[in-house]
Amino acid sequence: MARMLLAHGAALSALLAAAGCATTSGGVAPDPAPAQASVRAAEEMGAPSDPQAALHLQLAREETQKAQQLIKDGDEERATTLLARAQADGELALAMAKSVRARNEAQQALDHVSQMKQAQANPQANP
Amino acid sequence: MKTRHALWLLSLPALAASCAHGPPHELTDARATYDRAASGPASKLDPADVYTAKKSLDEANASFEKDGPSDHTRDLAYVAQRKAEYAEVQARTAQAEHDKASAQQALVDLQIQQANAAKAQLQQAQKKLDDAEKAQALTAQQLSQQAQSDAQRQQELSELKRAQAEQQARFEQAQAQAQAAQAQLDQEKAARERAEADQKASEQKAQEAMANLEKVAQVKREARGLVISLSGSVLFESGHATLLPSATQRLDQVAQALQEGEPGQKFIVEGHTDDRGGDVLNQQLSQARADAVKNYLVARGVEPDHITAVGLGKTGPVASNATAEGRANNRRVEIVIQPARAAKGEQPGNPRG
Repeated sequence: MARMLLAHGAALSALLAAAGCATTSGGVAPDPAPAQASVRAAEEMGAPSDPQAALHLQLAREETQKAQQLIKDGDEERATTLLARAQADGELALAMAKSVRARNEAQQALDHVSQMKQAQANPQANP
Repeated sequence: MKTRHALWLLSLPALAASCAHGPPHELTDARATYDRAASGPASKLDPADVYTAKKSLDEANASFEKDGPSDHTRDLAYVAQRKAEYAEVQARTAQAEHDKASAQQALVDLQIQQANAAKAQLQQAQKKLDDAEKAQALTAQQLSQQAQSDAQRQQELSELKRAQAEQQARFEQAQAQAQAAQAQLDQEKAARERAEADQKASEQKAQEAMANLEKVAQVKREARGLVISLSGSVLFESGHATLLPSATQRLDQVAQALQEGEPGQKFIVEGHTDDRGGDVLNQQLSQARADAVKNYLVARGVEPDHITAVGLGKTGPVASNATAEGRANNRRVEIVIQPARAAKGEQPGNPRG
């Protein structure tokens, strides 16, 4: 999922670079779906539980809302940029949530190993 | 990476020339974040995302070169920074996943080690159990053998006790027999001693009687027995068979000696004459004299069944009849005291042996 989102972001950046800065994406309407998807994914991964992830999740939400408003207002160029930011924040929030989970799991595994080693060293204390 | 960063530094003057303002903080933050990511663990653990971040930063820089610190440049820089942060976070995630995998492998290794240790302990315990069972079987066998041995010893002990009891009984019986035998021996010994004492006393008595007799008569020991010889002239008048009064004292001594002899002894009173006168007369005289002496002795207590009288006339001379002395010696009465065993077989009148 993250790799797919990342691919979306990379494609968008490439489009922006190819078209030159400060111009629109060449007629492609801004699509909030990728940003919204990254936000949902981050929420499901538990980003709100981690302060750093929650911060970027909130930024992604705000940026998405602003982009949607800009789309309504007709400023698609600015909306596209904001959606890119929102997607980046969303992906970062997701990655952070995943990282927290991975580190917790790694720590649990390390703790388990440590307990087992201790138990082997002191069998009397741990019949 | 460092080369690119150095190129950026060299291009700063050009940027300054093209943009009237310095780079916005979003761009400087993005650059710094990228540099950190590119020089940190992310460069090895997540190079793809670092590259993506680099491309994004390049866009932001290009925008700044072209448009200066525009909103677009700021947005691009913002996105570039997030991508650099993303690369770092991904690297941490990758590291955590690697650590988790390592820990899981270590856990598996420990579990395998634990399982092997448990298996070894189980095998050891099983061996101990087998050894204990073998020892128990051996102990049971030893106990059984011990029980058999005990039973056998008990039986032997019972046998020994029985044998001992029998031996004790035999001993007591033998002891009783020995005591009885001893008592009998003592009794016999006492009787023997009494008999010996009696015999000694009687022998002494007999000796005393004999000594007294030898004072009044001639006593000789011949094969036919003890012969008491009394001169005829002492007992009778010449040619007569009536005892002289002086003969009584001698014959009393003889009677006493005969009574004090061995029980069962037999006596033979022999009358003898010299060869003067006729044979018939001498025979009659010698017989009459023998009877007279016998009767006197019987009157003095000698058993009549133990004494006989026989007249031998001139048939038993002890001296020559040619001289007066000889004839005087021949005129005599002899009292033969036969030994008790011989008295059974000998007849009266047997010649001297």
